Formats: sequence, structure tokens, C-alpha cells
Amino acid sequence: MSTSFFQRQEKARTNTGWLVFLFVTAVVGIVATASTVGYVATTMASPRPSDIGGAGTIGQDPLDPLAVAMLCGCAAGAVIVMGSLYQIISLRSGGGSGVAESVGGRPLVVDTATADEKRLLNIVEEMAIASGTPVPPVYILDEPGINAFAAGYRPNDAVLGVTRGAIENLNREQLQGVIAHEFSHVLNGDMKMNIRMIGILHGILLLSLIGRFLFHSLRFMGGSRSSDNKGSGGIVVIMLVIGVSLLLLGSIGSFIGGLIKAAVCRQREYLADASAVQFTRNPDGIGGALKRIAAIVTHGKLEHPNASVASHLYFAQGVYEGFTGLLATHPPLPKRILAIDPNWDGSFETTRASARVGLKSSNVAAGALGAGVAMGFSAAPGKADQPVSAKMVRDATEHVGSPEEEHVEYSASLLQSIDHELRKAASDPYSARALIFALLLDRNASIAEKQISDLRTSIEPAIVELTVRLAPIVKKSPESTRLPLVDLALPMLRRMSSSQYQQFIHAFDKLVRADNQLSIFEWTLAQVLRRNLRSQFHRVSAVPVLYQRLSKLSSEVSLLLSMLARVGHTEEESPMAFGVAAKKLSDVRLHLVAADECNFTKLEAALEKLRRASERHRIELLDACAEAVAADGIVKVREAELLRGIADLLECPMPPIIDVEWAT
Amino acid sequence: MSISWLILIVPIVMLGFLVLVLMYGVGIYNRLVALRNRVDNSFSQIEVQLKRRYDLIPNLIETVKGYMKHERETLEAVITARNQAVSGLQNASGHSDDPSAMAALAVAEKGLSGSLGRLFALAEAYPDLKANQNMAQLTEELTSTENKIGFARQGYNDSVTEYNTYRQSFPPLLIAGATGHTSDRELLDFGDEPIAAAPKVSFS
Repeated sequence: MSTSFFQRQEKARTNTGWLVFLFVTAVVGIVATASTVGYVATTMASPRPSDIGGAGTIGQDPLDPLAVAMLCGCAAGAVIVMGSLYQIISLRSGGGSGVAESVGGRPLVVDTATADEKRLLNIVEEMAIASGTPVPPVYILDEPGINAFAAGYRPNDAVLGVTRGAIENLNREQLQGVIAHEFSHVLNGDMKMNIRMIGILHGILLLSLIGRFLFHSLRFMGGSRSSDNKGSGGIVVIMLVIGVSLLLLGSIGSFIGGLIKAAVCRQREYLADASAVQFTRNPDGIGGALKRIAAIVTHGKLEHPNASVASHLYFAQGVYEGFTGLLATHPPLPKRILAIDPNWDGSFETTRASARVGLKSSNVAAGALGAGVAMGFSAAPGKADQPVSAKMVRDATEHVGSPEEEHVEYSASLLQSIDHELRKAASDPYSARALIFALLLDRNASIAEKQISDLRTSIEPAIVELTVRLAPIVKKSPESTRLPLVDLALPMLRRMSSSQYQQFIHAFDKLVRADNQLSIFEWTLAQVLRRNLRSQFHRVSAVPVLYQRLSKLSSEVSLLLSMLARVGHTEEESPMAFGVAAKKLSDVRLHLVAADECNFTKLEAALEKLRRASERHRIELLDACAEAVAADGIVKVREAELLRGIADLLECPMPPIIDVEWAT
Repeated sequence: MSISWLILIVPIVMLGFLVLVLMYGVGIYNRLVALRNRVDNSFSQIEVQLKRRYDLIPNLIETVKGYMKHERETLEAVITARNQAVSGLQNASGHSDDPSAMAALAVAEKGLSGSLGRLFALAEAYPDLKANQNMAQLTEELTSTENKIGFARQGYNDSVTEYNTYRQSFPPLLIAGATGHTSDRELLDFGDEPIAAAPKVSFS
């Protein structure tokens, strides 16, 4: 049942490929048919040679059927291509928030949140931190039905939408199941695939729209002309025929396209359900949610007029999609419930018991706050420089993109342990900036002072004061909370306006460059922030996979591994660490890069290229990175978090590495 | 080239051109909508902080009442101003396109800030009050909320400017009027200090 991250991503990629192939075939078919129709229509409608020179027709050349055919084919093809491109581009540029707003969502704001909404936010934060991704912004849809969706092109710019009905009708574990399902869509690469699908389908639909337009507009023209000149009447008839054919072709094409899209979507839904169960190890959660949806009258139906745009993004069937179920983007509820719970008895009653018992994570909260001195919870996650099990580090890559129940529990506990002041700071765009600055202050006091004085010249004084106030709290906090704090702050930072962002980034860059002795950990933290924030304010184009073999990137890999080998190892030990790492990538020629040749500029460039390797290879690379860090068998929390940061920069979201004491 | 070609090519090319123009137009419309949504969202962020501020004030009055027994007028002025601001916000909520509601809100906010300022100025003369833990915490929270209001307002004004500029530019102005984007949004001014611009970097 547990397939790995890259297997699922590759499956999504092959699904997309198959889909594209089918669509291309359909388009070719449409173009060919359009040409044929044009040809046939011309042949039938053009004046016979014997008419030329006869009464009334002056200089009418017979229309060249071949020309017409080619023109028709080209026109049809052009329309489809343009339509598809346009839709794909506009969906990409609107981003997740664009989709969310177009179906009537409004952003959830912490301060005015009701208790139920706050619970939702907590769940989303737990899940995000458990997956190792930034916390996505949450949108609320004012709908009574129970439904949710995830939109956006990449995990880094994902947004979640949840209906009011869901928030109010589901208990914590059911809501968690739904959110886990949506997160799985994000992690499995479904969103990218979906956007492409909408795009291509739109192109075909455009054809039928044009056909309709032609048909209606020419019907009138055709009527008045047909009485006189037979030649031009013939042309109008041609256009009429073309119009009708386009309409038919477009409609049939859309229908077939719809079938294909629906079939693929249904498959992905089952997959997301399965991933969600793996995520939470709690079939009752998502199973319960599905039962609840089935039990209430409105099910998951959404009332907003624009809801069908995102029909395949929802958790449950959101819009009416026909009787037969062939066009439905979601499998029928009973089938989904059975897939999760083979022993299901067919009733939609969720037991009172499961309604009471929250998921363990809420018990964790109660336990840790109370007298809980139970073995597992007494050690707060990642105490100071507590070592992390090297074995867990080495195994960490197994969990990339596949967070599990223990990660969720761990992250719930982690969130509880974060200082209240820091949490508050992270929940607002204004103070989140100060939090970020505080996170990046150097441990060395004199360097930190220089950073503060640099800040005074680039941002308003109140923020500098806040930074200074938060700094000691940040210093006291365990290392394991740094990346999660960045993940928590990100959705708020995205709410800045462009000019506020410019000012922030300017101050941020100055802070980070303050000293040349920036540790690789701080640098990684800074990069994670920059990358995840950039996509909000700059057009970021999709990164196509360029490199199918790591051997082409040997110098970049060497640089990365060399720099990591020096982390936590002395200069003498580092060749050994490097060697251990290099063994994992036996087919790549690697060499240890000298210390003075390593700098962050080069590393940034190297990572840029490495991101263009395929998923499978990026994970292999991550494995090697883990070896480099864990070579001497001693891994500090800081080093484990560094690995997670590198994983983020390689677009392989890695769940927190749970340290030994907590796990027992 | 025979006439038959022309008769066929021209309409198709024109159609193609029309389609392109239409798609471009739809793109512009979508962007107008997106920018306007951003304005509305930024406003709701201001709302959140304003509400927080209004919620803090009754608490503040309670704390201060015991110490500043003889300053009834000032205290009442604050309460009145606060209530006015609350209703001002209710009217403006969800109607950031209504200039008079927004203007009324701005006036109410200025009034509130003014009376709060007077209250705090007077409070300086009461050392016991200043030493009070609750007072210190409330003051801190109020200041922080005001900072957040300022920041949110700056963000709002940025998004308003972006929307207005785009709406007025060519070619969006061609379709803006016909598609419901008929007027500019107003900038919001609460009379507070603008967020201090980053101090000029001196090269001395």
C-alpha cells in the first residue's frame, strides 16, 4: 500500500503523458475530420464546370477543395492550441488563490477565527509541518455542503479551500482525514496534471464555441444570399457546414475529453484517499468524513455559480456531472468508503465514540500540557543540541512526500512546544517579518549587533525593536523549531503587498549578507524562505526536467556533497564523510571540492541545476546528502534540519526527523 | 491567387484575429477582477486589526477607571469614539467600494486615535497606573495593534494604487467601464504617522 513519493509522482507524470497522448490523438482526429468535411463540402457545393460562363455567374472559379481542406484543418488546430495555451497560462498565473477566489473563497484570518476555524487552522499547520512543506493559506467557502479542495501549481504555492459545512459538521479526526486527502493531492503532483487537463480540454471546447458562433451568425447570411448568386451562396453554405461541423466536432471532442479527464481524476481520488490513510493511519477519519458527506442531504454540492471550474479539485463530488458516472470526476461515495474500509456495513452512521475521540494528536496536546510525564512526551522534541539517531537520518528519505501518523503526532507536539510569543508573531504579516529577522540573527553577539544596525537602515524602527525583543526567545528555542517557524510564517508573509515585499526582501538580503561566516544552516533557512516567497511575487515558470542522469551534473553534486560533508565533521574527517556519500552515487564521478572553493553563490547555482533532475535522482541525491551528514554517526538536530532544508530546496518535501527519545 | 482563396481566407483570418482579441480581453478582465479581489482582501486584513483594537478598549477603560476617577470626560470621550468607530466599521465592512462609508470610517478612526491619545497623555500623570501590570500589557498590545493597522493600511493602499493604475491604463480602460470596474478605489488615511519610510542610507 505504501508506494513511495517518487513512484506516485512518476505515476502522475505517466498519467499526464497518457492523457496528453489521448488528447493529441483526439485533436488530430478533429483536425482531420475538419479538413475532410471542408473538402467534401466544397466538392459538393462548388458550381459544376458547365455552369461557368452561363447566365449570371461571372468569373467564379471553382473552389479548390484541397485548399479549403487545409484551411479548415489549420484553423481547427490553431484554435485548439491557442485556446489550450491561453487557459493553461491564465490558470498558472492566477495561481491557487486565483482558483480559490473564483469559486467564492475568502482567506481565513487567524484573529477573527471562530473556535472551529481555529481548529481547522491547527490541523492544516500540523499536516504541513508533518509533510515538510510551507503552511498553505486557507480559504473558506461559504457553502453548506461538506467539501474541500487544494489548488496551485506546486506544493510551494498551494492553497487549501474548505467549506463552512465541512468545518461545522466534521469532528477533528474527520476534518484531519479530509485535509490529509488534500495534502496528498498536493504531494502527489495532481495539481500540475489537473491544470494541464483543464487547459487542453478548454482548447477543444473553444472549437465548439466557435462553431456555434459561426453557425448562428451565418444562418442569417445564408438565408438572404442563397436566392441570387449560386457561387457565393455555395461559399456561405460551406461556411455553414463548417460551422456545424466545428460545433459537432467540438462537442464530441469535449465529451470524449471529459470522459478521459474523469477517468483519470477518479483514479487519482482513490490514490489520494489511500495516501490520506497512510498519512494518518486512521481510516476512520477520512472514512467518517465520507460517511458524513453521504449522510447529509446536500452532500458535497457547491452552490457558487463558478464552482464547476474546479470540479475535479474537490474532495467529494461538488457539481452535477451526469447520471451515468462516466463523466464524474469523483468515484461514488460508497465505493470510496469500501476502498478504505473493506468491512463496511453500508450504514452512514458514524459512531458516537469516534465523534468523541479526537485523533491522538489532540490527546498529545492535553497530555503534554497536563501532568503528562509519559515516557514518549517528556522529552520535548529536539531539545537543544540533542543528537538525532543517525539511522533515522539515513532513513529519512524514505518518507519524502509520504508523511505518516507519527509525523503528524510529532508535529502537533512540536507546535505545542513553540513559545507562545513566537506563534503570535508568526500569525500576522507585520510581526512575521520580525520573526524571520530574529531567526536569522547570528549566534555570535557582535555579528548579531551588526545585523541589527544594518536593519535599522532598511526597515522601520518598530520592527527592529520587535526583532530585538523576539531574539532571545528564538535563541532559547530548540533547533527543531526553526524550519517549522518559517513554514508557519510563510502564508502570512505572502499577504504583503508588492512594495512591502520589496522592502522586506531588501532588508532580508542585507541581514543575510551581514557576515561572510553565515553558517550553512542559516543560509539554507534563508534560501527556503526566499524560494517559497518568490513565487507569490514573481512569475516563476515551471522547471522542466532537463537531466535524466546525475552524471551530467557531477560538479554540482560534488559541490553539494563536499559542503555537506564538512557539516558536523572536522576537516580531517570530511574526506571520509564525502567518500561514504559518494558511494551512494556510484555511477557519478565525484571529487571532494576544496574548502576555499566552496561558497554559497556556487551552491545556489548548483542547486538551481540540481532541481532540474528527475524526482528519482533528486531522492538518490538526498540519500547521499543524508550519508554525508550522518557519516560519523553523530547527527545534531541542527544538522538534521539542515538536511530537511536542502530537501526543500530540491523540491522533495521531507517530514521532520523524529529524534530517538521522542520515538520511544 | 484566385478569388475563392481570398473569400475563404479573409473570414477565417478575421475570425482568428477576433478570437485572439477576445482571449486577450478576457485576460484583462480576469486581471481586473484579481486586482479588485486583492483590494478587498487587504481591507479585510485591516478590519481584523481594527476589531482587535476595538476589543481592547473596554478592557483599557476598566483598568484605568479605578485610577483616573476624575477624568470622566476623557474616558467617556474614548468610549463614544470607540462606539462610533465600531459602527463605522460595520458600515464599511464588505463595502470597501463605497467611498462615503470608507470616509466615515477614516473620520471615526481619527477621532478614536485622538481621544486615545489624550487619555494616554493624561495617564502619564498617574504613576500608580503606569506601574499596573494590566495597564502595561494593554498599552503594549494597543501599540502593537496600531502598528499592525498601519502596516495593513499600507498594504491596502498599495493594492488600491495597483488596481487604479491598471484600470486607468490602456487597454484595460477600454473594457473597465463596461465590465463593472467603473471607478477608482479610495486610498485610506487614518491620520496616523505613515509607516516610517526606510531611513535614507547615508554614505558618510
